[in-house]
Amino acid sequence: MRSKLQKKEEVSIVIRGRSRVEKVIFPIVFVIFLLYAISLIYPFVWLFLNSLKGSLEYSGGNTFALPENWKFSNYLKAFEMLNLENATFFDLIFNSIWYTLVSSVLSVFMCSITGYCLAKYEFRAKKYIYAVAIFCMTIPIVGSLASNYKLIGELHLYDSPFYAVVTHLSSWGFNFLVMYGFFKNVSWFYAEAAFIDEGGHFMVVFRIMLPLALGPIVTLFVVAFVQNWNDYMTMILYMPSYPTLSSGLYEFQANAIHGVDYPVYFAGLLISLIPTLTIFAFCSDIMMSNMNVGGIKA
Amino acid sequence: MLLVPIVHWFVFWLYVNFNSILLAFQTKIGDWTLNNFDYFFKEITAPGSNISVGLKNTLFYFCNNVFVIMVLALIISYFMFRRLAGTSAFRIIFYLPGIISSVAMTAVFENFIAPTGPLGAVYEFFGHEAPELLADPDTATKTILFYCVWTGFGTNMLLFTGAMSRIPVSILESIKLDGCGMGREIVSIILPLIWPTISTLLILNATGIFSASGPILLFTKGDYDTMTIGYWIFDMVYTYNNYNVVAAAGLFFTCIGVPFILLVRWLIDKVPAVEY
Repeated sequence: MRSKLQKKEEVSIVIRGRSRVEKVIFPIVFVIFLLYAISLIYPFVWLFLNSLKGSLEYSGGNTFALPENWKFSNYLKAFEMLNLENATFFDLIFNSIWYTLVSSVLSVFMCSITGYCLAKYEFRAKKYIYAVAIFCMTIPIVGSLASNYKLIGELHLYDSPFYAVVTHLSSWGFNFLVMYGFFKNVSWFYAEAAFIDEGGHFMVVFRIMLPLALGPIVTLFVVAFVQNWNDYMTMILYMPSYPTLSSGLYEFQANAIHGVDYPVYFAGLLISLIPTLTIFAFCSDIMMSNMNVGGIKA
Repeated sequence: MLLVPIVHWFVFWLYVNFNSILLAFQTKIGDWTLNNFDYFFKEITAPGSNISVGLKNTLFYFCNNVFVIMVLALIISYFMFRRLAGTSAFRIIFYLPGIISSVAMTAVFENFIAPTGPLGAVYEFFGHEAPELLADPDTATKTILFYCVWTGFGTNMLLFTGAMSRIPVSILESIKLDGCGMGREIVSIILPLIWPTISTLLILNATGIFSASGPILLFTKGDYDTMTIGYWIFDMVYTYNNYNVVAAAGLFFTCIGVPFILLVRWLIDKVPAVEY
């Protein structure tokens, strides 16, 4: 870990002594960055303002204008009106919560356990399993969706909540590599000390190793949470009876027969963003400082 | 404890991919045939067919990812690394599209560029008729490519700035003392030192060459010449339940993809690694 003093020194070296050309280029780049930042933020300000308009005001009025009457009631209406054939808005929220939690917890837990076992235990198949895991990540396989979709049907996992459980038992990919790398660097002394105190292997995993790996586990969980909350394809393809906010809001707009009350729809969209933006507000440091090539650094 | 992940791999990776090869040579009722390949090759060579348009657009998205998004992300990262004013705020804002769901992002973008939205109002202000950018074959793919660029810097930017922040201070100090200009600094110091990150991202992009796509389902559902290979596969499976042709196409693209990725790796290995 670098100290704050070292970091400050590094920053001052990076900033210090800008040439004349740089003194011209940097302000221009700053303006470009500012315009790009505004282009990312303004649409959401526009979305928020238009979510407070009446339906007629939105379709017929000045799109840039502030709402004539600030209809915060649109946010309540979202809960009443944004219903699908098979799910209410509350169902969408409930499905989002359980799907996100189940899939995030399971995938991170399984990768942690697999990474731990392969990093810390010696057995004959170990190097083959690791080699296969790496090999699978590097083959550019295209078109296996058809076979996978067929298999899900044959296993009776189609349109079942068990789909979320079974498919997230996978323990490979980048998350596995992160946890494998982390446990490779954890000393085995902790485990030996526990064995001397007559602790078993499960005790070592759950009471020593996993708590030690809390940092990378939390990072992986936060990233998985955001990904799973925003996932709409899984619901559309495999679990159509369990729409989440992401897939539900897409279906609501795509299948609207009598037109969409856009201000209310916008309110629904903004409600759907609350959890991920909240998590980002609290964990942006975790997410952004721990990113490394191949995913996340341990 | 390894039993579950190993069984999972056998079922959901090995069986799935093995079965995908078998499906490519079968009819819907399981008889052996080469008709899927016959159909696929006829389609891919027919101008204007879904697969040929999809292949063309997929390559556009791949080039967009590598030559536009990656390059711009590299430039953005350099200025952030050099502590441009407001870097901390810009970092968070530029990363936001990676946090916000694609459904919300595309809905905002779609309404923003719609004739009834702000872009339409600007067109009207200048006395022009607002175009339907996503409903015109000439502009639809370009608009989605633009959307991908607009929202696509976040992860690349974090990876590049992370790599740049690991460059030793002594090197940065010495180039300042030598009076190196910005161009020299980028070409001679920054790029060689972050080459491992760049090369890894190149390999990852090359691995996904035939999966490169934009959010086609959310924007156009493949209409207006916006088809990509990724969306075509989804559409054939989800809408038409045509697994066999998809499997044949997948096998074909995988067979092209493997030598391509080996070639990319070989080219990347030609660049000497810099030790520091």
